[in-house]
Amino acid sequence: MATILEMKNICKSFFTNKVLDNVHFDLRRGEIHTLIGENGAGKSTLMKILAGVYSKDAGIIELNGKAVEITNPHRARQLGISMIFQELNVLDNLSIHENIFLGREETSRGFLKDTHQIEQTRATLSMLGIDLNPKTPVEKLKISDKQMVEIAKSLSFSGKIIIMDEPTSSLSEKETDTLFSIIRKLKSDLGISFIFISHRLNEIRRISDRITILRDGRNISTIDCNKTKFDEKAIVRQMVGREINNFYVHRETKPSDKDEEITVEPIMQIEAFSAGERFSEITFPVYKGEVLGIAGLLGSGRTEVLQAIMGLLKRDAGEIYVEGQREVIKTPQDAMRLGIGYVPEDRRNFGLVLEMSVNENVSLPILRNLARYQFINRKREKAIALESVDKFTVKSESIEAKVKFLSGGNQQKVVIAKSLVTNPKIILLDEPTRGIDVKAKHEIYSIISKLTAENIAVVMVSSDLPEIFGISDKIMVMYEGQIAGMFKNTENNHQKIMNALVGVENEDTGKI
Amino acid sequence: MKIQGKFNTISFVKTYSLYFVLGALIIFFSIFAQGFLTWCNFINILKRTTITAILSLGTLFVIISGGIDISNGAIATLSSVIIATALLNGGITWPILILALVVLALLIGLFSGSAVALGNVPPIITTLALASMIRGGMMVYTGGFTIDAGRGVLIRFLNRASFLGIPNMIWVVLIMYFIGYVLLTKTKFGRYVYAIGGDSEICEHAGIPVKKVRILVFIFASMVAFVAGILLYARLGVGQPTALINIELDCIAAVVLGGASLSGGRGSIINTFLGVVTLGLLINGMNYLNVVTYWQYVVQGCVILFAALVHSQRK
Repeated sequence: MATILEMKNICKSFFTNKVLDNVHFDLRRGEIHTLIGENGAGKSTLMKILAGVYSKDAGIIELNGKAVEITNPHRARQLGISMIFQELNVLDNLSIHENIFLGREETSRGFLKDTHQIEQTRATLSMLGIDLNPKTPVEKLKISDKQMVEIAKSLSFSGKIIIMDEPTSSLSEKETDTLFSIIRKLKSDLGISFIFISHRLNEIRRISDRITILRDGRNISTIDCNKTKFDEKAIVRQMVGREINNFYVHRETKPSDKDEEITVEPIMQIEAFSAGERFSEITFPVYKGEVLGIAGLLGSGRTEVLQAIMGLLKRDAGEIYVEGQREVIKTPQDAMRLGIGYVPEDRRNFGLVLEMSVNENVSLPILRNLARYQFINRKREKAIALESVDKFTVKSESIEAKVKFLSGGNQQKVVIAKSLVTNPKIILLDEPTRGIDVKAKHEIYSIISKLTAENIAVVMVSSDLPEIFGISDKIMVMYEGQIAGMFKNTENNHQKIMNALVGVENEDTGKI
Repeated sequence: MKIQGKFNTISFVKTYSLYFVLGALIIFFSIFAQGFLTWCNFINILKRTTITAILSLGTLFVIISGGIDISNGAIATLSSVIIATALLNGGITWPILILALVVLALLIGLFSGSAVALGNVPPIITTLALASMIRGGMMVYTGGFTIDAGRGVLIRFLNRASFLGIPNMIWVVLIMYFIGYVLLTKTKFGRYVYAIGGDSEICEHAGIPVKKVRILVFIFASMVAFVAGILLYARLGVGQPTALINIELDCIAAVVLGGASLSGGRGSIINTFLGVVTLGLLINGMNYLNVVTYWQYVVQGCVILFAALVHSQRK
């Protein structure tokens, strides 16, 4: 098979952070090449460079042996390269054919001439085996059909290379099967090449011709699936295989670990939480002074479980016990009253009021205690904010500075401080270190360690496996909305955890 | 989960909420208001809503593209004051006057469109400032007095004459709506207006000149407002700098009543027209029932809110 694309020595930095370091990637005609790696390994960045979304700092992209400059997504499409993002880039308010030919409408004497394009759309859809009227508004389509619209769009550009970023994450099993059979058909009939970004090893095994593993912005290896046996465990090891050193703050006391017979009462018990297709039958205990790490891929339901505990997401079934008492939590206020604090995943949208000062942000949850007849006791507010800033080493010019001027790491500390002013007994952290630098990460770990020393229970969702391994006492793995295993955080269990994460069966699910 | 092809009552009511409101009003007034249900009154309603109808056309385009325009009342008034001034001073031929109006409309649209598309000023601020500048400028020039150029040919032709039993003013509205319909549904420009209102980033990635389209939308709205200004002059017979205050709010109400979304991407010509008619019919019917003007505002507010509520209900 002829090589149609070669990316050589690609480098890319965001500010001082080097995301891609001399990465190579090549693609053959009619091949399905999968890119895998942890979050932050550089897969998406590499592909966005190829699709013209980002510009590269250095390196060469050769298409059919000729060097090309891909300056924007439109240019990429003209070169036959298109990328299908997880959050599909279709216009809901337009019809299928209008989406497919967006920006390339045919006109005669200034008037649109759609008939031809509608026919072309119909032909493409029927070739893909999709029975849809081209004039259907896209908002009426299922996600899997929207994806087909994007594939049809790539084809209509006589696309030769289609990049798909986690295309199966929002598809059912049947829809995934359909997608795969269409991809295989396009590959063999039209010689179209696909680049897949995925985390699900069992899917990767089914569909890939070659697999390239990236880690920390570098090539680790490229495996030819037709020549070598697909060794899941080796792949997982290569994906993660980073030294987990003393970067993480190790703690000595792990209460429920002390004796094997757990006699300690859990401070919170989640019983059979279910919410539609998001997650089902989630049961787990949370103990005082312990860190429970929740690992799972995007879409595994990990974030949603936290949201359900906080009353932000309505569940269909399940009960919650706090200190042995059955409780009803309908709103975050209920949860806070019961002593549950929450640090949401997206701090800029859900964790902070960016236009307000550090001081005002921190005091937000307890404003009602600080106010008398609507007048806020500024002195007490300041005292509390100063104490928090001090405790969590927030670096800010003053507590009067707007949080939008703080660095990501310091913003995150403010969110944590804010969730702790109510003196919770349990704190739920969703991706507490996403997008912050190494030093700030370390400081967040120290904070978590301090919290457990104060006997607070910590539940931490993270997609950063080393982080999960680094600071959890126990690790719960979620896969497609279910608990794929509950493990003690021991070296021996790491392989099992990684397997559970990507849907590989373990002999035992490590029930504790 | 959405089951395709299955009849869905809520979405049905949602889609046709405007028709229900309009139908209910017609039935109600036909029963209770003597003389409401006549051809003559129907023409009367249309005649009274001509200016709102034409201005709403511009508002619709701007709203579909994801913006908002609260300057069109001021622009239309400016147009009428300029016409009155030109006619009063005399010595200017029609072709030159029309050319001058077209150029001015273009420049004003280019100004607000550029502020929005190139200067990244939010449309509401841009058009608020523009309206203030125009209104102020007119007051400076006229000293607040109306300009009376006498009853000329323009007034006779637009305000008095009719064709096929329909007043010429209404023909102007119908022609403008036809042009608007063709532009919005049959041309690339119209397609792009919907597209950039849907998601401008996707459009940029698709190579659509988003900024240019945005500017063109404001130019269109400004042109439309100038046409409304001609009708305004014909209606009033004078150039009055304080005319059409707050009419932009009626236009927004009509467009939203017609199912457009203030977040962009949605809206239709025919429903906008029906939205204008609904509001006009409501006022007209209440006049028949001798409802005090102040109460008419209250009722109008309630109807708008009700229609918007029905429309915004989620599945």
